[in-house]
Amino acid sequence: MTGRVIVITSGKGGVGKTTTNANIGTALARAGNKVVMIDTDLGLRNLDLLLGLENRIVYTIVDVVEERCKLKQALVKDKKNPNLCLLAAAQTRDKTAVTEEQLKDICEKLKKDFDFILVDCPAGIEQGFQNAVAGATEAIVVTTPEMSAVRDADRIIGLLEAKEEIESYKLLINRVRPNLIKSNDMMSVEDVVEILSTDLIGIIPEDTGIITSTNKGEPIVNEEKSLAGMAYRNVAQRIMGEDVPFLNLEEETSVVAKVKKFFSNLIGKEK
Amino acid sequence: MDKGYVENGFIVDLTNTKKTSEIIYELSRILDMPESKEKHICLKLGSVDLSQAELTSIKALVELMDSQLAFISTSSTETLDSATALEIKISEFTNEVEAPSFEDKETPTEVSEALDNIFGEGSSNSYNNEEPIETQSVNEILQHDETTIEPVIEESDKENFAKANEAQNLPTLYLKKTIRSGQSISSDGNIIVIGDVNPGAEIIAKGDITVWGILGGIAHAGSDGNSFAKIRALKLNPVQIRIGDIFARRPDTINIPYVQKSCEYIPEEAFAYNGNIVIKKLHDEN
Repeated sequence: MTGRVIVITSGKGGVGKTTTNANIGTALARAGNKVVMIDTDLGLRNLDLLLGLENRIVYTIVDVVEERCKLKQALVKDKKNPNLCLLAAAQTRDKTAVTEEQLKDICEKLKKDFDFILVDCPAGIEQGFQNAVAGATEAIVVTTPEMSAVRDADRIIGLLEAKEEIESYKLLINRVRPNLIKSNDMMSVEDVVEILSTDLIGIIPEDTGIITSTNKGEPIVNEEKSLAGMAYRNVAQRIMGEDVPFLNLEEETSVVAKVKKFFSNLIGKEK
Repeated sequence: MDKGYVENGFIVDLTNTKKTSEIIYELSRILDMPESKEKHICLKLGSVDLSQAELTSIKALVELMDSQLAFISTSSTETLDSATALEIKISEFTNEVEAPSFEDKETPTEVSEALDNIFGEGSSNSYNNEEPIETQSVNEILQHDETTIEPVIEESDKENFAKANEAQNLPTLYLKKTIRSGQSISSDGNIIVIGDVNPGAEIIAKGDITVWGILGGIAHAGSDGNSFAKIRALKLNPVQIRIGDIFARRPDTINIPYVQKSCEYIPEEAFAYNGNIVIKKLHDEN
């Protein structure tokens, strides 16, 4: 078995890298893949919280590289899904505790036992980013429809293009608010894609359910009714190579929109 | 009214639309904006044939937004007939009327002054009221007169002529990719980029810079002090632009973080004249 190593990165903080990681990982595992997530945000680990696995962590990635434990011992199994594992970051150390070579090595070893290795990248473009990218061959760049996030994503894509190991990178646009786009207060998905000229892998709507799901330690993909959860499940299927259409987030709510729709239908029928 | 002058209103130019659905879509998009409320709306329709029912729908759409359909202009006889039947006023208005009625309402004085500088008085028909203001953003601080453009090439004592053509003899770096934020490209010759130069990127060339796309970062042509170097792009939207030792920046008053791509580009060229950087649209008319 040779797994795919996918790094999830963004440049800017707070756009939803870790949330994306937790949800895509869970969705991939639900679909029957063997998945391991690596949190490389040493010193600021969050991924375990989102999965509700904080209390189960005994060994971290630093323990693995410093050979205090075997790699298999450090993998924390998910509460619900035995296909899903987490290699947690050390909270008491900083980004220098692991080198690029060591991370590459860990990824190589995990490739043998897992279908997907998802690497959660810290914000920024410093050593933490370099480490996270080192072992990966694919990347998902997370951004939000805000100028600052798009600018940082542009920078990250530039850095990814310069890395020979990265064979492909895809764009995921998070926290999309269709109502704001409609009223021209937010950049549209098309705007972002055009600026970054990159292939899209997912559009995730803003969902207050994410906050509760984070606090509960229960990824939102497990909620069948949630729109964001559905969007994340679709992303997972696209990663698996299936052709899934993008969700239509445009819920036409304004009166004008409805009238517009009514008239275009009317005229469409007459012609 | 019949002469095309509108009080408290504006003209919606839909002459480019080819289908009824397009008209409805464009119109509702415009009417959706808050500034379109309670206005007299004049519709410029092209050659699309509209039946009475369709025209009634359009009228209803306008009235739904508390606006009024003041009058329409069209080149289609069918539309003309339906409008007569519905007692909608018909008018043939000209561009001379259109542009001022828009500028008086929507354009801040400094912008309209700049526009006058660019287009010269009376030639405002090249200014379409649908066009976003940002296309003139860089031109604005440059305050140039169209008449000043031509002498640059005429001014030809031998040394200058040689310098002006220096770029031809330089090697050229050809890049077919998007230049992204944080990337810096510099060359001892000319640079050609097929793709966009995104904000945050930097391009420095001893010779000319040509971008087949949107130039959104920083561009410096003639980096060894050659003020005859030029910068061209399908769309010039740079944060800063430098030619030789001359420098210009995007005005603070209009800050456009990004330009929407469209299929209707008019290529632009920046060059130095009298210590200023001038941006000229490479329009067929000029």
